[in-house]
Amino acid sequence: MSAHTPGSLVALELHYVVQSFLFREARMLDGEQFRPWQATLTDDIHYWLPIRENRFRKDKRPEPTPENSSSVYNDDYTDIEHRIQRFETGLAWIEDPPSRIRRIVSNVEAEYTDNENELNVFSNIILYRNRRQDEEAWFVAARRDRLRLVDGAWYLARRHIVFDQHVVLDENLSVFL
Amino acid sequence: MGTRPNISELVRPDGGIQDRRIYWDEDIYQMELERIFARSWLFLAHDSLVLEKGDFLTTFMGQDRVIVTRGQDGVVRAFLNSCAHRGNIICRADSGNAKNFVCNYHGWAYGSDGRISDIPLKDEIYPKDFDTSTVDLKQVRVESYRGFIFGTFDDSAPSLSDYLGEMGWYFDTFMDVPGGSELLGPPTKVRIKANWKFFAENFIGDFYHAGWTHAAAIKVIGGALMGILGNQAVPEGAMQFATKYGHGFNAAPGNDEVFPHIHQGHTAEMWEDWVRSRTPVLKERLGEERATLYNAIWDGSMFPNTSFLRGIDTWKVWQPRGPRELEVWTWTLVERDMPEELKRGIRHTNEKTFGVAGILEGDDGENMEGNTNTSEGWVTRGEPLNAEMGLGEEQLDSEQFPSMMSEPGDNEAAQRNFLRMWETMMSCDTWDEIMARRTKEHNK
Repeated sequence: MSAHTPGSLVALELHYVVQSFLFREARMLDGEQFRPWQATLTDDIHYWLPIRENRFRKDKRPEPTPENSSSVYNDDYTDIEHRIQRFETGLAWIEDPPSRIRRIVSNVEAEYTDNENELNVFSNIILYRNRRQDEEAWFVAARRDRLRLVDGAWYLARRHIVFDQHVVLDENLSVFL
Repeated sequence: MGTRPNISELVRPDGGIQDRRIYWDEDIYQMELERIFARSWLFLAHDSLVLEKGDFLTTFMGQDRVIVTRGQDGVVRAFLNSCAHRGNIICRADSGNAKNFVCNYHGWAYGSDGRISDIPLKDEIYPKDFDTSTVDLKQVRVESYRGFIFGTFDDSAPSLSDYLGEMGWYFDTFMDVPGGSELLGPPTKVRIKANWKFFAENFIGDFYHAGWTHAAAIKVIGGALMGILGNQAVPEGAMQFATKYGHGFNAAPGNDEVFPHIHQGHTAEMWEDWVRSRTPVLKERLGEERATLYNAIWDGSMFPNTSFLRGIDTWKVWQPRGPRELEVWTWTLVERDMPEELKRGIRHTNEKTFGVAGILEGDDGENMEGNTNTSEGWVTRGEPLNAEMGLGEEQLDSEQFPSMMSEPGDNEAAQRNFLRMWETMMSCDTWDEIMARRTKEHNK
């Protein structure tokens, strides 16, 4: 692999591979195929959805980090494993009968980084959740991902979710975004 | 104005049977805003959340918006977040640091004491004798207990300390540790279509639901909590407490072991070391009973809408948004002297279990929505609800503890006591009457 300038867009063929990775992932999550999805995560995955307070523009406090602020998700591989196991117990009443979930992934950009085996990938998602008779929720978010190439296959190594609700407007957010 | 609902008919005198309209009816809810939320002590903040001069946060007391801020004199005050000119919201940030608060509409400015500090062009356009003291913001009466800051709109309410009553003695178990306790924010917030009381009651004493509602999460990460899985057994040694002004909690002690908690991995090790090292300190400082309670998992509520879990270490406020909707605000509860690594671990446990995507919290919302929304049905709404578990078995006299104590912990004594406090506040016109009635009920 020749050296690429960090921040420059990836070549067309690689863009297609990245986009297909995100689409396939969306299909697995919508279909509750959590184990195949988990197999696309690196062992050192950081899956993070921070709280975004309403702050005045002049507020000079640093941006939230997992250490200095509250999160909705701040998961490592074990935390994600627990969430999946919970679904698999057969005792998670809230997902029985299951929700109907569909997500649209768009605005995909992939950039080279200073690590030749890693890419920064940006995307937006709209997720529709329909539960029970008529309960509806729409979630909109941006994702800042780090994808890593290991032995010829791409894996998700980091996902930072920029979630566009301050007060979460549904009874919970227990869905992978 | 319509006639007021006859409250005393809605909750049976022993608290064991309730009319579903108290969780559904708009008129009753409006009465709650007036009689419960405008007269009780409500949680506003912790010292740690408004640490520096000028630090502020915005929150709600019932549905009244308030600004809580530490003035340049170091005193924390609270006042309505609504301009006295035309009513606009003055501060739309959740938190920050400011010397004054300026309304977006015409630029009226208020100081950190809530008093008007500037009216643009006042001398040119207002009457010469305009009395600016009439446009100061309505003040909240603020008092704090071991760093936890509360407010009430009612000057005739008892002191915060009296209002806590025996609960203060119990709170000291984790608030009067060396260094005290503090909250980590900002709060996570989620909107749920349920009546706020169902959550307050659930936290005040519903041990019973944990093994069933949360079966999936307990099976995965329950550790020592596995004993309650599937409601196969009544938890041994658990107790339930109920206090004069409606506050209460469950506690299940660990005795010789560190109590059943929900921390994982390295956090669990650090937590257990901490509890082991601190329990003897607490025994020395506060005595045998509270050392036992220190080494115990708790779920509790302070009347009306503040709840907490110890051992999961969450602190919550149920912000009402009408009779059929609420916002759940969640902070992390830690001891100030804990190592930073342990505090971060506890925050992580709280977020993973009782946060917005918490693997336990997620189970509760739908139940509470179901409890509430089935009252859409006119016939359903006419069917009573039941909270008679442990009825008649309450121990009013306890040698060890200052309040009513019931065993086993699977009990609804604390819920009945909460509902009797609710009924008392809704029925009584003055705090004198409320205090007289509650004192009479609780005199041993």
